[in-house]
Amino acid sequence: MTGPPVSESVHDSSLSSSGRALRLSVALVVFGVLTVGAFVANDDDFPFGPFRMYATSGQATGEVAVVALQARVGDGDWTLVRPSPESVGMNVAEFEGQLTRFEDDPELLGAVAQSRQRLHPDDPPWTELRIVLQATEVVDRVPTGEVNETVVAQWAAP
Amino acid sequence: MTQVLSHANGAVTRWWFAPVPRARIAAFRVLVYAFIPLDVLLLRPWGAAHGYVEPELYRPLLIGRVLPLPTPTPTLVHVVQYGVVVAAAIIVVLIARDRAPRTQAALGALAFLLYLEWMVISFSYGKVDHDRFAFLLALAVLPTAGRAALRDMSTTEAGAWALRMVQIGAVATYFLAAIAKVRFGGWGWVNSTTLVRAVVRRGTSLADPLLRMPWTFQLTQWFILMLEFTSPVILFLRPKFQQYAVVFLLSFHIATFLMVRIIFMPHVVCLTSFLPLEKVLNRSQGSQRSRRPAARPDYRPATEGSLSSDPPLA
Repeated sequence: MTGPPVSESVHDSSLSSSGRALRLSVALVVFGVLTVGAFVANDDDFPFGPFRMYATSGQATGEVAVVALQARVGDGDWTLVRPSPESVGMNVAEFEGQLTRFEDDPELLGAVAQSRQRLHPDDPPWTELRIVLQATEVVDRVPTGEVNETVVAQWAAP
Repeated sequence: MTQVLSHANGAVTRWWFAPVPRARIAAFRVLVYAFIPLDVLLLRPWGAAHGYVEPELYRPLLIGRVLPLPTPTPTLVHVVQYGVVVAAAIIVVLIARDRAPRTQAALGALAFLLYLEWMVISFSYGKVDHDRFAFLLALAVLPTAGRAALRDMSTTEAGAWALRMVQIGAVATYFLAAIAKVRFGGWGWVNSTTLVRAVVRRGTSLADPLLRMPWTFQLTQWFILMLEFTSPVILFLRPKFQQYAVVFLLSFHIATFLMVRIIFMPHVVCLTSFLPLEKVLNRSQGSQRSRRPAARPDYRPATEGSLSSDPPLA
């Protein structure tokens, strides 16, 4: 190391050979780890995980499922709640990412209800909350418009 | 043999360190740091809501567990959110006035750390976004590029390396996204219903009619995978063709936005690292100067000082 890179380049336009070697080594490490990450790492290894946006393959015939919340207060009607930073602090993709946790432990929905209470302290607290999967049928690549709803986790205030 | 090696060595050095104008570094810094407030306050302010989410729903990323970073609270998220905005705003002002290069570098390092923590806060609740590796890399390397002013046409090697890093980061985002598609979706990804699924979930009125012609999506998927796999070519094109390639990629991202309302803005900002940004400012400045003396016969060079201390972006 020849000291902070800033001081060496403030007045001089060319880099010392050690300045160059240091930079080439950094590049090798950063892109080396990133490339290995693309093959073996996961989202957990951010920022060196794989760039897996829209990387999964959907079947030509099957279902396209979207997560939604349904909540109610006391004996009132179930109302549809789209998960969002404004409504409960988390969005649809985040619920999908933690979906197995909710399936394994529906009590976790209590934490969602509490988060919503912190974001909307003036609203009456939800006493029941459930996660539903809204699945749109797709037949041979074309959505039929038929939507099936299934409850995957349900919670009631103690 | 040694000749061949030294020849290769020379080529590598030229590719990484061929000097670029400091004005280009300064202009790219302005774009990057000016984007931060836009990003954390308007486009992706969601991390802030995580401060109010119950700790049981926090699933810290590896980096958050190793360091270990604190569980988000309302105070933490807002300190990070506004801290990075203030640091970025000060940097932009200092660049415009060409003041305090060391303070710029120190604030740049701070902005990188705060933005990284902002990412950890944003991505530790079940969803990681993949559109900002190059941007994070830009924040990491820009403080090492040395002093740069918007009208300084002298050149820098440190700046050349920094831009190269961002360019490779941007191209790697495409190329490694193709790798990920093959890894997770298999080679059959090109014929799968991934885009149909995306349009069902968040399609616009422009994309929805295409659902009746699913072959359009299939064709687009072939196109996307080929584009991503061939993207590294951009790194080795002549500057003029690099600029065409960037315009092409920008149209691709805009079309994607019109179809499914997804645009990888931080990534788009990084694509500008391929452009001769210094020309925008210095061309207009040149024409301004050549016009002024003609319009004002009493024009004196003494006003030059006040002219160059004006914020160049105003």
